[in-house]
Amino acid sequence: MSGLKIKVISRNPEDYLRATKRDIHKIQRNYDPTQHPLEAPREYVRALNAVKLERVFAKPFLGSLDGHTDGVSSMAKHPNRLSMLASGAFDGEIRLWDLTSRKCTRNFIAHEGWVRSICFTPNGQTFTSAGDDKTIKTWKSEVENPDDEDPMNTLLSMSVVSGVSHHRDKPIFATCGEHCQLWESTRNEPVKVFKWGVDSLHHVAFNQVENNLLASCASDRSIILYDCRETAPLRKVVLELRSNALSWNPMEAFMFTVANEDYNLYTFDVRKLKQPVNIHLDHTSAVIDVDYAPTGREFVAGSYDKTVRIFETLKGHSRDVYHTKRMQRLTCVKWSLDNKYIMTGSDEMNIRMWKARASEKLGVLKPRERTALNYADSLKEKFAGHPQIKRIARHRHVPKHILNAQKELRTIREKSKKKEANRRAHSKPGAVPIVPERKKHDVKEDE
Amino acid sequence: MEDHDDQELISAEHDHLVSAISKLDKTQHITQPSRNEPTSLNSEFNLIKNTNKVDLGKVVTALKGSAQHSNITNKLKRLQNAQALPKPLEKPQAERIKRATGYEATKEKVGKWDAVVARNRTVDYVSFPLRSMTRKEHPTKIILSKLKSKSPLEKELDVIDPPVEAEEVEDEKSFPMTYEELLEHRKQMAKLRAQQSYKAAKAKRQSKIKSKKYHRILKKEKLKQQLKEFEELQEKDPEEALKKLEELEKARALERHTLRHKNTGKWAKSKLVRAKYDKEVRQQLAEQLAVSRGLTQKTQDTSSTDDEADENEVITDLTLAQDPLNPWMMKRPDKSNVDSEFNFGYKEYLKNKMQENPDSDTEVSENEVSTLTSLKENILKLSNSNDIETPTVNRSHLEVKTKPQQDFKCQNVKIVKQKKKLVAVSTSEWSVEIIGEQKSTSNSKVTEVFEDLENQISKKVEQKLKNLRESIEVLEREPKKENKFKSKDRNTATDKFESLKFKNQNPKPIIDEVLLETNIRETENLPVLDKVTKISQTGRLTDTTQINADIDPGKFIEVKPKYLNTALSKGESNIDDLDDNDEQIVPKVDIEEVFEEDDVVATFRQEKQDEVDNDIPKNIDLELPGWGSWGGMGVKAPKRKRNRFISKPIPKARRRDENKGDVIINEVKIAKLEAHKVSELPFPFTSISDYEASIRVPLGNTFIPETAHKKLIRPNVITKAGTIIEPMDEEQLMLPRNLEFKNQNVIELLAKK
Repeated sequence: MSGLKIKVISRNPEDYLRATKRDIHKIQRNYDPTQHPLEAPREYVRALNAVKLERVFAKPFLGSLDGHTDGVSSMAKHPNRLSMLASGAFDGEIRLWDLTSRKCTRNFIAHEGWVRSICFTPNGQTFTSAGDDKTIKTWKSEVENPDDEDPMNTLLSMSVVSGVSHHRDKPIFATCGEHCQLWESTRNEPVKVFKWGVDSLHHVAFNQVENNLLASCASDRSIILYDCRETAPLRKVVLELRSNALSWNPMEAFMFTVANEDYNLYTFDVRKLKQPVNIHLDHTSAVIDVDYAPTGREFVAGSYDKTVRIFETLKGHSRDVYHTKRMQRLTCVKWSLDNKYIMTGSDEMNIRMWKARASEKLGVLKPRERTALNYADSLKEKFAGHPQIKRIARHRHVPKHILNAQKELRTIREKSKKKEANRRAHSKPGAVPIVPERKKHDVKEDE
Repeated sequence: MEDHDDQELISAEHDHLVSAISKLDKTQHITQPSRNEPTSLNSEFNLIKNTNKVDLGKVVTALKGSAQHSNITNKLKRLQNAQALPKPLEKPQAERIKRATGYEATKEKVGKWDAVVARNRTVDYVSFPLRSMTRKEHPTKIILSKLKSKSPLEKELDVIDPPVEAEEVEDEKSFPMTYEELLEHRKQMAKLRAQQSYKAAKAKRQSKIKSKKYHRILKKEKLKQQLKEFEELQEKDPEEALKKLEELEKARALERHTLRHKNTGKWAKSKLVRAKYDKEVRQQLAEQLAVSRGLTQKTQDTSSTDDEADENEVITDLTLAQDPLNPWMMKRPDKSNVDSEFNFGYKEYLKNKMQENPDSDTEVSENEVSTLTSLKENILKLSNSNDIETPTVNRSHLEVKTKPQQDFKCQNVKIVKQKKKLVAVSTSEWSVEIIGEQKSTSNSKVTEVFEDLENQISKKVEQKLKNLRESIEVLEREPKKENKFKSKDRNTATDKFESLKFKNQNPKPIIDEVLLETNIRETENLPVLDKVTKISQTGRLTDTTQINADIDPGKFIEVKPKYLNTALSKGESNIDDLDDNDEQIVPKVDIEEVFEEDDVVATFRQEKQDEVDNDIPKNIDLELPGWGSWGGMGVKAPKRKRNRFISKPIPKARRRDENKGDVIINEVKIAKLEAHKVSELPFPFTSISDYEASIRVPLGNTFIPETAHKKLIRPNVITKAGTIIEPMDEEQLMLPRNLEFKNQNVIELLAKK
């Protein structure tokens, strides 16, 4: 042995090993950046692992609510109770569900023909349904005595009613059909009727923030805005194809999104209807329904192509796509009020429950677990631009028919792009301007 | 009661009878709808042909005969004769107008949400539900009173003399502060207290200072401050100003009245004796005089002639007249002395230039002053002419209102200011090089050069003035346009959304792309291909595009390796300075000695040897046994023949670590690593350096303290499990968010940045 001595740090294991799980130790760390020359690569690896784990744990499907004997036509969320859901079917049956136990609590035939639309009153004690039989019925959401099984109130409409939406505070609800009608709960006749054009309306929605505004979708490809205090409608926007459903952003009073037949969703600003604020692509067939998350940051769209897609409000492409082998054409989608779940109703009589974030862990999280997950999330965000992370995070398996449809759409799109590029190349510079996607779609604003 | 019953019975019988009679008639009558609620609509299902509505004409004829109703008949007649109202608009047109007005109103109404929405979009994190729980808190007295029971004596006393209930002031309690507000409030209070204590300490310190000089300066400063305030007052409140002026005047009178600072005291006289020979003493005396002058100076510019006479009287000391430091003399430009001459004009300028003082622009030489003054005169003339011109313009265009004119004037002033600046810039254009050259030559040449330059400048100035005139002409035409724009702006002012958006402090890459969708069956053979193509693509990208420089996660840390010999490759060049041991601070340790037992060095060398061996290109044996001759068991081809088929590879360049000792240098690019490199800048980033900076910020608690870690990983949307998130309501509009930022202009300015 030579005489050389080397100083090393020697620690008592008692200082850094926990005796029990509940011991809290201060972990000794040296934050001097020179001691961590590889911090970025290390974090990159962590991000890579996190994003891989995210995909591993991405199991969004929670279960299905089985019971309807015909396709589900409409759904409604209870405004005060997370566990309650009402759904109507094509055979006129309405079912109330307890989502925690995934059981049907009540079912009854409400209408002859479709249940076109259901909506709860703001206090949640009653709900209103509109059917193909031109009736608007109000039901109690809780049955205490046998009398409550019957409708509290039945309103006879002169024309077909295809949509109901309730005002946020006032006892007013709007229906659509031939015209947009405003009803007061105590009256048997509509308080107000908004007429514009002869085409029938198939969806109506009250704005929940600026609560006197409402909008409806008409079969002449238009969206009509109303104010329930005015005597006339406000404005009309005509798109290229028909809009199937409309949802107002619950956090941004002037924004709404429509689900369109041309496979896209359009987000509009009430004040700038000349062109959509954003266009959300990715569906491969008509979009049937749309519903905003209560945070207003995202929305869910159900399509005729048998998939559910989740979009971020400010982005043009979907964040996630949900599908199962057995799920058929979507008819209605709803985002739960705690921003955690998504409910979808489809043609094949089932209502499905999904997680809003596919890989989220449900249930109570311990603080350390939560910090770990938050850390993973922020790492994913930080390195989102790196190709491998992007690739893993955005990779999804989809059924073959969707893939084929997408391929077809892509070729169509590329074709037109190529044609435009060619035209641009062979004409005077500036003669064929580059038009952004937002301006490409022909939107007409009617006064 | 009976009577009433009877009546009902009769009426019912009557109805019955009527219906029976009507049934005799076979034709179906549609009865008028009976309803018990008002409606604005007439149903088409029960429209009735014959109505028994009252006809106005019939009524008139009926009323004609009776004198009683003459009033009514007259009114009715008047009504019939009244002028017809104008025809209402066509229905579609009227409706359109209704819709348009309604829409405009809602547009404006909806605009009130802009601020909240913009905030929610750009704020770092939002916690839902937005509305915080409001609880009514009871004052402690009430709670405590409930806990105590009263003794019988107390009860009796209460009966005799009921206690006065202390009423707590509750108006403050109705709006309890939120947590954020509380924090802010506390911060503000702390700041206030700190400032107070600073000021107190400062005052204490100052009061202890005994220095006369200091107090003198202080007094002077105070006086100046007073003057300044006075000037401000003059503009705002003339009456107050007058009072102040009187005070000032009083102080001045006092000063004039006394013989202080007049160099008449004992001290001054004793000094005067020596003043002739001692420069310092002269200076001191001059200072005294300067003080007196400062104090006796009139506050207003309009100094009367007798005042001047006064001042002239004061200067009695002729010996001081030629002193360069005498403030009285310094003011006279006509009388020059040696020092000032020496340090004047171009020379001073040159000196300044030689020193390359950045503030040289401000120190203007005499000549510059002259050019400047001429320029000023020009501009003044110009502005005067403008002032003359504008009224005429106004007369000719009566519709031009006063406000635009004011704006216009302001613009003029601005332009003038700009002009001055421009001149300053142009003077600084006199480059150092020329001066350096000229310095060696004679002084006359210098002056020539300057004259030339002056000429140039004057030309430039003329040109600029010309331009200015033109621009003014344009401006004259513009105000009207601006007016129009303003009215338009008012219309579009409803949408302030973009201006309200704040810049994101720590941007993160936003990926808005199509999902990479594949089918399960196809994936088995897809990814490999995908990867290969991707790698090749990324390679190409980096080659072709210069902007998309490689961003390597390993490259981001630019830490100087202090304790390590080799820490990081310094770049793509692969040329590492391996031999620089300057950074080595730790005393050299012989590794062999330290790790005597485990043979580290040997294993490392073995490793290197393996690496080297692997790297050496091998001979390729292309020999086919049996080709061209017999083959089989026991048959061996001749060595010469075998050697013919062994092809020797092209010799590789020498390894870079060949003679470097115990070092392995990896010279081959790893293709696997290439796939991890970023090839294009993600969306919100505009420069690579920004993006790299964002990557460089570590988030983990391995690298940064726990609190910072917690702050950085906070998710931007926080929701509570099992809590319903209600839509936004108008309460959100009322919340005072940024108490520190109340200035709208500042907010807008910040947003623009």
